[in-house]
Formats: sequence, C-alpha cells, structure tokens
Amino acid sequence: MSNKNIFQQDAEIPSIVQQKANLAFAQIYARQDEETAKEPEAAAEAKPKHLEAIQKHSETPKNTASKKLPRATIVKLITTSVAAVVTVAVVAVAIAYFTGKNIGGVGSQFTIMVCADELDFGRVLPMSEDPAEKSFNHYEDWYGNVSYSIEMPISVAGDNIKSVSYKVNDGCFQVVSIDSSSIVSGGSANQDPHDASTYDEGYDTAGNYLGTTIVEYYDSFSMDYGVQKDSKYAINIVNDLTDRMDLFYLLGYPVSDEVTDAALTYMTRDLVITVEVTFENGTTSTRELGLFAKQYSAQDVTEDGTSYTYTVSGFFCYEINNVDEETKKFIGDQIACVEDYIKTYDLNDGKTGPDSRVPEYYSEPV
Amino acid sequence: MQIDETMRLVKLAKNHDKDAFAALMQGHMQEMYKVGLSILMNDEDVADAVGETILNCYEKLGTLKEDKYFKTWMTRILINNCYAILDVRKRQTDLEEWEEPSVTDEYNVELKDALNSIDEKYRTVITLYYLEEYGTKEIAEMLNIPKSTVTTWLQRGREALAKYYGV
Repeated sequence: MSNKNIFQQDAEIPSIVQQKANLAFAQIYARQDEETAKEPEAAAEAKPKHLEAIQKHSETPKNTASKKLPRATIVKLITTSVAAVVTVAVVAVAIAYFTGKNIGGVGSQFTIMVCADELDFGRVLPMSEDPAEKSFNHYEDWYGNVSYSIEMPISVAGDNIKSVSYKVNDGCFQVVSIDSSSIVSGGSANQDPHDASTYDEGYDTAGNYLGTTIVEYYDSFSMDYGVQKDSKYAINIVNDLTDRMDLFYLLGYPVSDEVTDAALTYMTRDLVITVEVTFENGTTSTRELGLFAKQYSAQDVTEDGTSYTYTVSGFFCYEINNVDEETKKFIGDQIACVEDYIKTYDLNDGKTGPDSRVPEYYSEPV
Repeated sequence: MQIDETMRLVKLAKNHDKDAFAALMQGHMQEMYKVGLSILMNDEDVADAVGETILNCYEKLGTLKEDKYFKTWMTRILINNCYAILDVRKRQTDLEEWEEPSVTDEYNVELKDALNSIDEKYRTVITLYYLEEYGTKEIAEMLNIPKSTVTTWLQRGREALAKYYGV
C-alpha cells in the first residue's frame, strides 16, 4: 500500500461530479425568484459572475493546519469543446435520472420540447416539424423594411406543471388556435397592425389547410398546461423591422447558403424567447432560448422507395445559459462573417461593393 | 472552507445571492464527494447525489436556523440522497453485479479499495469522523442513530481498516 494516510489527503473531484454540480447550478440560475424578478437587469448581468465566484473560491486556499490541499478541479459551466461533449452526455443522463425519479421532491424542473425532441443541456434543435416544408419566411424591400416569421414548435413537459408562459423581447408571437377557442389564458396583446396572414384563412404558410383558426398577437402570453397538451395550435415569432438596409442586401442578394444562414442568425441575434413554467405549488422556473440558422441534413424517400439525403436551411434553438462552446463559436463566426460583408456595402447610397450585385432595375427606389 | 466564510456565504445565499450559494456549495464539494463516495462507492452515483443535494440545499436553505450548522445540515441532506440512490440500486441489481468504476486517479482508487473493504455503515461513520471531522454527536444526529452506536461503529471500522492494512 503506497499511502496509509489516504484519509488525510484531498481527493481530486472527478469531472463527472463537477459537471453534475454545474448542471445543478445552471438550473438554479435559470430559476426566477421574487428577488430577481424585481431586478431583472441586475440578475441578467450577475449570471456570468457565478463562474468567477466558483473559480475565485477554488483559488482560495483552505486554511486547515493538518491538511495541504491540492485544488479541486473545477470544470467551468461553459466548457472547452472537448469537455462539452462529455458534459452533454453526462448531463443528458442526469436530466433523465432526475425526471424519472424526482428524488428529494424537486418539483421545479421541466423539459423544453422542440417538436418531439427534448432540448437537453448543450443541445441545439431545428425549429421545424418537417424539413421539407419551410418553417420560416422573410421579406425585405428597398426601403430597409424587413419582415420575418419563424415557426416556434416549442412546448414544455414535466411533473406538476400548471401553466406555461412565453415572452419575446423582439417582435411578437402570432398565436393560432385551431378548431377551438383561444388557447391563451392571459398575456400582453401586441397592438401593432399586422398584415393578414395565411393563418387567418385557415392555412399554414406551406398551404396546408389547418381548420377554423383564431389568430392573435402577443408580446407575452400564458396557456394552461392541459391546454398545451390537448389543443391544436401553432405559434410563430413575427417581426417587422425598419431601416435595415444591411439585411436587405444580405438576404436580398444571397452570396451563398452559408452567408444567407449567417444573415438569418444576424437578423435574430438579439432575440430571446423566455419560457416560464408555473408549477402547481406556485413556484416558477424560467429558461431563455436563442436562435440561429444553419444548413442541416434531412432524409426523405422517393416515390420508388429510395431513401435520399438533402440539405435544407433552418432555424435552430438553444438554451442561452446552457449553450456549448461549439455552438457559441459557430454563431460568433456567423456574425463576424456578416459584419465583414456589411463593411463592403454603402448602406446610405444604396451602392454595393466591388461585386455590384445590384441589378440595373434596382438602381433607383421604386 | 472556514466556518466564518461559510456563515458569511450562507447569510448571503439566504438573501437569494446565487453567486454566494454557488461558492458555498463549491467550497464544500470535497466534503460532499468524500462522504458520498464512502456510501455509494461509485463516482457516477456520487455525482447524482451531489447534484440533487445542491438543489435541495438551495430550495431549503431558508429552513436552516443556525448558519453555523450549515455543513452538518448539508451533509445530512447528502446522506439521505445517497441512501435513496442506494435503495434504488439495491432494488435494481445485486451488489455483486456492480461494474468497477473506471478510475485512474491513484488516490481515489486507494481510498475506494480501503473503504470498500469495510461494512457500509462503518464506512460512513469513518468518513464523517476522520475526513470531515464531525463529532460523534453530530454524526448520530445525521444518521439518526444513538451516539453509542456511532462509537461502536467507529471502533469496528478502525479494526476492519487495520486488518485491511495488515496492522
């Protein structure tokens, strides 16, 4: 035996233990309590500090006379790309474990579902039920007006949920109740004028008939959990932007699929979807989602039964406080790419850079 | 973590300072890991217990009456969570069928080997008494057993470890 004094040594904290602890911290920070609700800005700015608090404490030596203490290894919540892979796998198991067992009576956890998939720690998921049918659209004109609509197939799942609320900080929700009364139990209606959409006539943007519809617009709204589970509805994020010649050039004159995706990410870079769940015991839990766009592969089958893979562009959602390093870097690179392109545009005079991508008939405003 | 620092962070955490709470729990990660390991003998289960304990402590911190007893209170929650996991594990599989955890750290392997050689109840009191330096009275409160039982288990645990080390 190499060391009989093992009880006087400090153990290296295994990364799996630290990662599970970090998951618990993330859940705690995601919760909105009464204090942070009164000071949302302070709370939002304070969130990243927990990493400093953990790291600062880990650097503070433990002052006990009988022990020399090697530092416990602390894995940051937002880990390196290598550790992030382990984190996703480990934390996914952790979520499944807690959801199934509810040890300790923790009734304040919920799962965000995107289509039929769970948005686990560090995951990104496409905001589309069917990749073959476009789940978003955008329109831009020479005056810098840009409009977009993005499907939001998001719901929540969990135990003891009473209701769910959604809030968006840019644009508003288009809430479509299908073959029923309004699914909305309360909210802040958006009073801006909205162009009649296909949903008003009972059709979705792909031309599929849905049924009898009620179309409403909200900055934030709530729905009962039972209504969410039992009702037919569709929710889109819609927005009308002005003075956005940058987006006009980026989206109106596509250079490549990748640049177009980057432009879509750039268009929604500041958009935050807040999902708040209210439990039966009155407590609430909040999580925030962001969007970005990219190409992804989808599979389909030809008429003769042959399977094939194709690439489609779509929006993905991720949890802002639990995004992995790879996604962060991807989004950062997209924004940087777009900003490089914008530098080549003369937005005031409407002239493009050396490529002169503006056709002759767009040389003057209509 | 010194008791003064613990009390300072507990006070802040009770006022909904999440950074203070995170620092408080991180500062006790060593203790939680060792105590959890002494019961569960498996890093993956210890991770689950630690994560659950952090959430429990956050939710119930307001019920802690004396801030200076935070460590004892936290350890008790951890032990309860460990036993809950142990109960599930026992129902799901025979103990002999556990896979050996993949541990490469020499200290952890050595610690686990030594602790694994003695009975589970002796393991727990040995860890709490020698590693975490709790008194017998505190250990008795944590485990809901008489103080005399703690003393007995300590003695038997020491004898078992001595036998393991060939002393």
